[in-house]
Amino acid sequence: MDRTKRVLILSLMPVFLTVIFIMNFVVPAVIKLDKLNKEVKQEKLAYIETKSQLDAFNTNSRLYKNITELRQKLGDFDVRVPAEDDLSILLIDLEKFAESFNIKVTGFNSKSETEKEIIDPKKEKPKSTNSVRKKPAPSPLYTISLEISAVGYYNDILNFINTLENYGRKVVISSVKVEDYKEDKNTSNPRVQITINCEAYKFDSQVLNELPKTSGK
Amino acid sequence: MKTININLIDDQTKESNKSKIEILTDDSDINPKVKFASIIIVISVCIVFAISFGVWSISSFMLQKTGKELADLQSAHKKVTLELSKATVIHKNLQKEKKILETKLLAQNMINSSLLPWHKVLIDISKAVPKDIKITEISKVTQVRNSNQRSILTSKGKILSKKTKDNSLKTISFFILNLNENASPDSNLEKSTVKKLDFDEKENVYNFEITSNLKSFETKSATLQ
Repeated sequence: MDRTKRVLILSLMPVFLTVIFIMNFVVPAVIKLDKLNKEVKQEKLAYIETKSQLDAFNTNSRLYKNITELRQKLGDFDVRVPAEDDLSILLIDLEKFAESFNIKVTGFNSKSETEKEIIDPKKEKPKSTNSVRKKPAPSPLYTISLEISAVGYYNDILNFINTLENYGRKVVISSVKVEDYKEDKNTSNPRVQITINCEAYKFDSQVLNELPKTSGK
Repeated sequence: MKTININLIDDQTKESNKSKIEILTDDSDINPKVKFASIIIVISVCIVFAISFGVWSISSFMLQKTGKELADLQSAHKKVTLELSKATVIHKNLQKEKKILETKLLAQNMINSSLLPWHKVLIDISKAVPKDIKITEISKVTQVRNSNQRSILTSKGKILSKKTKDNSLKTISFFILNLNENASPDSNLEKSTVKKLDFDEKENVYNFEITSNLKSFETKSATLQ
């Protein structure tokens, strides 16, 4: 081989070596870097999105504040409107009140609980239209109609009613019937027989948890 | 015979006088174009190699740096995602609780609006009722008019006076007057009217039905002031 060819071959050797270096090291490194940059960009976007979602939940503190205010407003609602009917406890307390005012509870009738639609008293009731009215969602509030009969002197009965009104559990009286007690007809100071129609309430929170979620707020 | 004397040894020594380096660098026998091209190629390759090496070095450095950045981002994202899932659960629970509490508050308002101070009402009636009148039943009716809820009390009873009919009518009028005019400012009843008045011939008594408006708590407190 003459020297010219040898020189040419020798000068082409670094070319091959450089090409091999570029192909095996530089190009893969650049491709990998590009891929990594894309991944970083995607990750950054995902991070920002998640962070903004998390920031949106900073309303949780506001929500918690609202809940605290509501709890304060409600006070001992759970005592006044319990989750169970607890009529046995009511009956025991009624007897205690009656004994303390020297009156006699002669009757106690309770009807089965009925669901009561909760309506904001400040809002006007929607007028019923001819179109088919949408069935209201189940209400967590139930009323238990009670009829309490008692015999005693009028003033004692007034005190009994007063105690019933201030009782821990909400008892809403709807009507009071008063009549002479038949057995005291011939006495100078007759007792009266009173029949109190009232309603006790129960609030079942489970009903709200079981309600299907409505779309939108 | 003629002898030709050739000194070969002398020539060899002349050639061997050229050093190896001289032989290698002696490019007199190389084509100058090839020589130039090879120089250009070698220089270009050197430049390309240097650039590629630089690119590779920077890429390797950046790869390390970006890799670390990516790992940091991934761990931060994982942390944020965990916090988000926690916050979501808390938010859901809080919203559920808020809904329950709001419903409870609404229920409380509704129950409170239907409350009536029966003890006071009965005292008011017993103060106003004349001797000859006997109240037999008192019931409450809630009316909604122009988005205002008001309670109306219906009192049923009988006039026990068995004298003349005129006297009986007077008695009921006195009762109404007592309720409307002579009542104390903290009375719970107002605008009482006779709704029904029947004479029961069997018992020889008048049965009556009167209605009274119940003062709302706001009106009552304003009157007291």
